[in-house]
Amino acid sequence: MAEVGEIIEGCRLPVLRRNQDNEDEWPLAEILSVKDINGRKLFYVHYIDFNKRLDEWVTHERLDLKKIQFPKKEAKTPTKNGLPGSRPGSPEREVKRKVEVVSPATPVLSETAPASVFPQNGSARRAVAAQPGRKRKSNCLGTDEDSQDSSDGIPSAPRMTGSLVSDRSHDDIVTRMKNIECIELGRHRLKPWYFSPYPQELTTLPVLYLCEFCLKYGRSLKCLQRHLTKCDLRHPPGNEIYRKGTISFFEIDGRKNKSYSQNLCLLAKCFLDHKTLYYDTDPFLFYVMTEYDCKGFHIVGYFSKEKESTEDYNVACILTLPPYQRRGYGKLLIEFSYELSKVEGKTGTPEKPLSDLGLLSYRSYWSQTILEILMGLKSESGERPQITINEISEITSIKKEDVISTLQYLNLINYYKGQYILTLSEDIVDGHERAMLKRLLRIDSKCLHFTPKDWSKRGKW
Amino acid sequence: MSKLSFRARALDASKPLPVFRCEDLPDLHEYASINRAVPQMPTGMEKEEESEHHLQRAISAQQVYGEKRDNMVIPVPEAESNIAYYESIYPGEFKMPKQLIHIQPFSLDAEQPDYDLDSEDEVFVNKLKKKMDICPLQFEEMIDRLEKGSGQQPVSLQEAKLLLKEDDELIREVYEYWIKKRKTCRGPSLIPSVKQEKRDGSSTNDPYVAFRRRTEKMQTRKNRKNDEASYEKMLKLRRDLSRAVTILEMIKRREKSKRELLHLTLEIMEKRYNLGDYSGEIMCEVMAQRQPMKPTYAVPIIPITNSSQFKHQEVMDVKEFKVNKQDKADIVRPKRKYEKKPKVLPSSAAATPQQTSPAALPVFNAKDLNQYDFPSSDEEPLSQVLSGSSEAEEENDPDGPFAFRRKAGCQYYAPHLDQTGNWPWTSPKDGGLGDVRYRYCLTTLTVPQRCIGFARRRVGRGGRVFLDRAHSDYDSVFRHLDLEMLSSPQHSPVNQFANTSETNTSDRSFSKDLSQILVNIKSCRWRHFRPRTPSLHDSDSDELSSRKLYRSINRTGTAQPGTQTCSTSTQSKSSSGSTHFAFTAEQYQQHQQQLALMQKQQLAQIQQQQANSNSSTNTSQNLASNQQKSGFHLNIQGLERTLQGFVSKTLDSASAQFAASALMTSEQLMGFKMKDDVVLGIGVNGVLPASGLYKGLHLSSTTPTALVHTSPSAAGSALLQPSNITQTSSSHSALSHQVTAANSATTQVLFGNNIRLTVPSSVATVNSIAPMNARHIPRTLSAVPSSALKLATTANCQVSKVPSSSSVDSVPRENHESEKPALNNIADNTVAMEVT
Repeated sequence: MAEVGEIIEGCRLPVLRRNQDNEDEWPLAEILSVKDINGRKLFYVHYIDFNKRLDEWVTHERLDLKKIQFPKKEAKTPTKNGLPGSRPGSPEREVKRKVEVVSPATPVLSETAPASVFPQNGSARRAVAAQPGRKRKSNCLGTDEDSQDSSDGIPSAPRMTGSLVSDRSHDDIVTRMKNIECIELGRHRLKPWYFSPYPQELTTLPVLYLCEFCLKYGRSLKCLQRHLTKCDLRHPPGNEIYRKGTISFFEIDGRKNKSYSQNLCLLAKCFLDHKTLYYDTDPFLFYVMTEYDCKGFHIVGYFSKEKESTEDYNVACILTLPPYQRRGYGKLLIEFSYELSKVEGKTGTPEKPLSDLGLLSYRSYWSQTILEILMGLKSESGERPQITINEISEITSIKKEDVISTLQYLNLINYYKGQYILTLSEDIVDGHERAMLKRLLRIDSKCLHFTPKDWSKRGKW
Repeated sequence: MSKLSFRARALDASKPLPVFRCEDLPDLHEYASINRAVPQMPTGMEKEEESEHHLQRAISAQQVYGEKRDNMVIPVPEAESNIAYYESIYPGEFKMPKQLIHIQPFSLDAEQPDYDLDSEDEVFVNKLKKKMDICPLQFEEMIDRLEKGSGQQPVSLQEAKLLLKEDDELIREVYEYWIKKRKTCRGPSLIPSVKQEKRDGSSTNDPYVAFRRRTEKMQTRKNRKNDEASYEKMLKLRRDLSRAVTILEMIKRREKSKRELLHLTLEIMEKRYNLGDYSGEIMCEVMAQRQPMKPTYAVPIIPITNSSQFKHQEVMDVKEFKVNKQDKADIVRPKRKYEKKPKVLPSSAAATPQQTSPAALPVFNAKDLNQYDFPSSDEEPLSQVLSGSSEAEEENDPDGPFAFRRKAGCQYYAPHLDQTGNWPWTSPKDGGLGDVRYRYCLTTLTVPQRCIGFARRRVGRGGRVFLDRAHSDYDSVFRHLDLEMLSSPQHSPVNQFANTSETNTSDRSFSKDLSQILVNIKSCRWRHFRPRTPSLHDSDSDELSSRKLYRSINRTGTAQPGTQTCSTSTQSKSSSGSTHFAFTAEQYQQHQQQLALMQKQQLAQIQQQQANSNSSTNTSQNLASNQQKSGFHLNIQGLERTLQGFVSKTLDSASAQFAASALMTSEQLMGFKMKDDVVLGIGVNGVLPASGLYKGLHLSSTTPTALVHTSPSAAGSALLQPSNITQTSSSHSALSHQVTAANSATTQVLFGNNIRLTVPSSVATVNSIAPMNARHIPRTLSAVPSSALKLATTANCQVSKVPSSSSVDSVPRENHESEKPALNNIADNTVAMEVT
């Protein structure tokens, strides 16, 4: 049994958590940061093998101090061995990296994080810096990952294409932790999932107030009220290129409308782990999906898209805002993105890496779209209906690789008597039919008014 | 199992896959093991996240149930949608527009303050409101301006007062409040904004810095490291090429300016001609007026008579014609001090090409070549212009090549006082060359007008000319002779100059009365040197006669040879063009004035009945019937133009005065060499038969064949002005009739001239002239034979653009205008070159 005071970053212990079924669980968690507010200690915990978005500040009452594991000095942590691939839950790696990558640039750190002002960040940093053991350990680690890291030890700017980072070498304990407690957007209150680089002075506020139309951030409700007297936007500041019923899509040029694009990115970053805001928004177009009511066009979700993609990406970041999630809007966004690709006459694929939710959504969309085609095939003159993968890809604008992976995922491809065939099982057919019944929101391509631009001819976007 | 013994083929995306229902294939499971052959596709997720608990659960749930179960979804932090005050803070209704919303660019930039008042501010504003007039928006605007006016340090009160328009009292209140609030504020500004990157690059890793500017790093394909290097090389190449473009652009501009300058100078010269400003007095006056304005370019104040050496009657007829033409069409002579010096004129004058100092012509040729050197025209033209003012002068004036010009980067030593050195004028025994040009010869001074006897001149430093006098027994005779010579024209009564031939004859007869010495001089046994002083004629040239004078010069200059050739008494022909007429310039000018007067009268006549007067005044014109004559006018006009072009070209190539035309020539040489060759050949071929026709026309007038070349040209120049002024339209109408004749005439004369003129000059001159001929043939005529026109077009598309019916006054100009596009063409070509 350890004392509360002994708990430091890197400790692992079961933490009380209530699951979706309102049952109490004690998943193993790791302490990422400790802060002291009015003499009360708060611990930022990451539940091992849970997504980062569930990380949270907890009081010591929720910690099972009896089972605490202090960070080991030499040996690999149990997570590393026992639960391979649980990277987000492995602060050891984070911390080690921080030491490796960032500590040579200590002045930068101390400069960027005045500890007195931002206790939670500051303490995290200080704690890390005061861990000689960690450093030694990190030096001793010789895995592939580590050698990779050290070879890339000098901090360098990330690549300029795309909107997502898969290389987390720039990760830092600050970006590992949520920094905004709550965002108020229109009639919604959102709990951010991830770090977002809103102005640092706003991170201490209990609630960040956003104008739901221009997405400008304010520090108080009063500010928002004042702002609303001056802001006359009732829809995203772009051209409406699709409208059916209450659903509209607005196209916003990241170069022409910087402030909105940046505000949108800041908001989106709260819910997208891999999104990077390192560079400006110039090479992106933003397609904002809105739902109309008498107050205006309310943002539901959006996806961004590179004006010119070198890798067939037709989506960079895609997000349905949490209040609208699990209601079919995500699939609608995806469907819309493929509609645009159809107009462009290209196949496309979302930028990688996908998030868990992204993978599920895309798989679901791909499955439904492909199954729709396969089940719609009619046999001609008694022959078996047949189709090539390329044909599927052309019809749907889904990139060939995604078609194949979907067919595989659905277990439709089989090798039978010397050739590949597609087989539709009863389960698949039934499941698809049930799912399609629930899928009421669809994109109507007739309502799309979109002319693709050849951005390569426009110089710099 | 045999079924498993082979490997499945790779999945072919373009191969049709039959679609089966599972129930139709009961034996499918037997093949299931081969399915491993289908490669697994990556999910696209990060490996570590892929194994996350909730995701795996959701995936398996989906696979088990075919759809997600509520409790199997991935949990996310909660979101509420029950903000009670939403209705109250978001203003009322917004009607959906019927049309799709289309936003105008930049319409969003409303001038609203970015700062939003908070509760604390509201308290302050309300308090302040009691004292003075302020509303929240005004307060926000003030704070906004203060914030945006501040950098790292807040603005001072003083600066704040400048920034804000409000009352001082209000400013102070708000400023103090602002300063206090800013101090307690955590952020760098009261208007929160995303952290910007720092220039020093220290913010590379700051997680709060976002939206960094993209540097000009290219987006290369993945896994291609050398792409970036190649890209940078390409960038460099592009930069270099664009620099080349710039340079060429600038060259183009420079050449254009030069041509402009040329035109301006030409215009000035023309104007001065028209004004009769032969001494440069008017010019000086104008320059003096302009002095305070500091002209960027010193317009040359050259006495016009400089270049027209009418003293040298012996200069071959065609050449004289050229000189005249040159006066009109030509000239850029940037003023240099030393040009004011008395012009040195070698008595022997090298009138015939054979006698031309061998040094002179090669120099020209070299310059010709230089001119073709397109970008070299930095310094060259000036020196060329200076040294090679005209061919005739060049031939006669040995100063040209020796004229002192301080060269940049050159060291000039003090003279050796102890030795004379190897100067050309030093006798061989003193170590000099003893050049024939520096032998003592008869010398006449202009001011005071007297012959000083034997003297030799040499060029000193800075182009100064020294006259070394030598005593001889004939000194007194010389003095006498000179006076006689000078006064001689005055003896001739004005009305004696009925026509040119008469004048000449009278001159001739008069000269026959001169002493033996003069005869000797004339026959070039003795050289006679006379420096020219231009100011002598000032009093003589009044405004009225000046215009005519010009014409008379033209006319006389050309008519003279005609007569000369006719008069059998001249030894000049037989004596291979040695010095013949020892007219002084004074004599000549006075003669000119007589002629001018006469011409003036003639002009009056001409204007009334032009054809008759023309034919009566000119000896060479008695060949035409009325219709023929209009055709002949045309011929002449065409001739005139051609000759002008020709002359300018020739002079150009010879003396490099025409930088622009030289450019054109060089362009032809460089760019269109092949085409030119073709055109030239065809031009010659096509024209030759026609020239026979022309010859026939003239032969019928019983002119000696030798005259064919000269007399038309003489007539051409003489006729040019009157016929053009009064009869432009008629000549134009005549154009169509006499196209072929004119065409042939042009070529004929050109070739004649060419042959004559280029006897001494090297092949280069011929070359340079030849394409010009080709150029001018089509240009002379409005209705050229279509084939010729086509050829011309292929050779040089600019030719066809030239308005063939342009007004007479712009005849010399026309040449230039036709050159303009040509020049442009050069530029275009160059640009195109570097683009590729």
